[in-house]
Amino acid sequence: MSQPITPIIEDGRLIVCAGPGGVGKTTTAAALGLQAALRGRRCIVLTIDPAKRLANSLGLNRLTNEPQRIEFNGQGEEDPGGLWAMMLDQTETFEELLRRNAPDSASLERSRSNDIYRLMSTTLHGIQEYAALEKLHELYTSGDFDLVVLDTPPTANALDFLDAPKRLRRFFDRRVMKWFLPDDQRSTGLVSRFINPGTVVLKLLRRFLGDSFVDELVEFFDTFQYLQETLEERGELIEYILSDVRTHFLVVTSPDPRRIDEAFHFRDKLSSLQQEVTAFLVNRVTPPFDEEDLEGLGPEDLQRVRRADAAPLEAPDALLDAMGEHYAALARLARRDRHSLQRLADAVGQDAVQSIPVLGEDVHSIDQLRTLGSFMTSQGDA
Amino acid sequence: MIASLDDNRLIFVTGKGGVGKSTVTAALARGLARRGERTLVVETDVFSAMDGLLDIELGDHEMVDVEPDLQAINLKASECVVEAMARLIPSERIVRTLLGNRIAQTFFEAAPGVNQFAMLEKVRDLHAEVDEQGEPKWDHIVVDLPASGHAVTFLSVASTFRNMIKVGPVAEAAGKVADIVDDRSVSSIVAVCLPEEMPVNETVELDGKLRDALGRGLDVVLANMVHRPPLDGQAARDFDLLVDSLEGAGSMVDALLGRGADGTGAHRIRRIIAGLQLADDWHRRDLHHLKRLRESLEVDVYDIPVFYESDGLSVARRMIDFLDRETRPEPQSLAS
Repeated sequence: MSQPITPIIEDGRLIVCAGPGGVGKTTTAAALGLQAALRGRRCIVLTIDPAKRLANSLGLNRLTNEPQRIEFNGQGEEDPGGLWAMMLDQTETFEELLRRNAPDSASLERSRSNDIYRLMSTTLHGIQEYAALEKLHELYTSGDFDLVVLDTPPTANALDFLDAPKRLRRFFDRRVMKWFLPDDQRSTGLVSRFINPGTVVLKLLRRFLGDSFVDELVEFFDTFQYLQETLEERGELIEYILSDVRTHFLVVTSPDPRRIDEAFHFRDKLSSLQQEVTAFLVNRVTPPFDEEDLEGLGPEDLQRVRRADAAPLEAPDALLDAMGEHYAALARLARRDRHSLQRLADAVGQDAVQSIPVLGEDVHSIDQLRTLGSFMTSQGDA
Repeated sequence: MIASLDDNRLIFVTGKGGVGKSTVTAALARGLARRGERTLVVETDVFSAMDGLLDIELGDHEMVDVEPDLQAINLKASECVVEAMARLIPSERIVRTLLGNRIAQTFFEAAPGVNQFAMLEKVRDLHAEVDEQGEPKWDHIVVDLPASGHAVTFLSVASTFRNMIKVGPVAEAAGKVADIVDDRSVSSIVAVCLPEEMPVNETVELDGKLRDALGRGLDVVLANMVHRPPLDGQAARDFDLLVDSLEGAGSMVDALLGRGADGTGAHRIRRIIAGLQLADDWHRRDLHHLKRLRESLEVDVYDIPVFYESDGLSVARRMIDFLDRETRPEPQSLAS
């Protein structure tokens, strides 16, 4: 069986980790990044999850909107590779976008004080996904990193970010904008003003949204006209990045049957966006416990694994029964997991599936990340 | 059942993705319905998990009967927008004009917050619905919210709209929705959590963010998939003795993964021991994180055990039975 993960961390330029929540996606992204760094690559892991989780797995208190270098044992001074991580701050990223593109400081000020802008940049998602792409673009083109690993939010709309440029461009669509800009030169003529359907719509909007809100909206569109071009340009670049052959989509999931169903959902969603999944990482797979292990065991087998001088057990028969009962439950869980893996492999091909066993504690140190990563890139099956 | 949830007709359920939020939603709703409370499960335009959990086929924006006293609906955001416009805009002519205008449609699709607001406005409308006797149509409406990262945004969209729009029918409607969401005596917010590092952190964060955004925190936390100790009493003491007296220091990972296994009794025993040690690690980890959760929040935390079932429906059934028995007024900690 070939191993699907190693080639992409060795050669990829962008790895997008998608998948349902609660399967260790952020940790997986960090572990992939570390594996790339250990192979001499300069890798940055970008998380756009609103919760501060990546920092936890990297042993940091917090991550910022700027790349932070992660120190790890065994990294020599002269090693070419390195690991960086950052967490997206959507407000900050959107601010940067404005600062870079505003034609003058007055429009920048107006942008900031506009209620609708504040709503867009802080409260509502969509802009968050867009901001992530903005940051992704910046990191991708900076030349500082060989590989960007992007962790996506763990929601049903996680792949919204692929639509984000299109959505925002629609929002800033010239046809939409021009209704809100009564002084627009494009519609100076009395006739065109008169038949502009926007004029009608604007009047209607005033009636049910109120004058002050609509005025604010008009100001918003007026102020943000300059973003239109930038958004178009970015949208195209990002579409280019996502379609590059060195861009890979990983679906991270767990063997829980519901999460496998969700993994299929992610695959279908990606496929509708003309993207293919390079590999499915199945995390937290129960070790291959088997009810057969319990057959024909007796208390004497307990003695066989003990030191000869060990004190006798109080009630070895009862112990063996109690152990057997709990082990049988674990074996049922293992069987469920094997079934899930088989179902996934049947649908997407064995070569596209990599399983990672669950072996104990939560991962919250670099060493644990390294162990996790070694399972991702190993041939051995869980 | 959890007593404090009986008081409010509207129950919002959220939690980090993958903690079993939908399973708990289904179990809570079924538990309520089983006691004769007319209950509605609402999903918010998602890839619905309810089909498997409630054994139904849930179409888009279509009310489905699950069993007597239990109905479910997966709201479709675009339908909610159309319905909200019809409710909020007094003139049918205006609604028709807006709906018939492609540019206006584009605007409503792309504008931030419109979908979320329209869905909450729909929930408010369902909450206000009455039967022939003029009584509320549902005793309980259980809303499966987006995962916690987006839940605060979702729940605060009404007050954002109210503050932004200020006057007119939409502002008024936003105010009404915000009043429901912000009022602890009208709606409860339940977070589902796992006894793990990140889910606990996120639940604590969620409570803080809700307080900041809505002026209210969580009402109940349900800690899901709590591992009980694999052994207890004499067996636990003998097991410790057994582990302490193992001959040779074989790697636990090797034993777990069955490396070098030759099928002999000794090898199998080693693997069984490793399996139970793993289960005991899970239990200890759970204890640690549950303690942290309880210390960080001034909210009732109830534990739900892990069920080793292979499909969602069976897990939901076991959970309903468990919650049904859980009639004690005090929150229980299973792991202690």
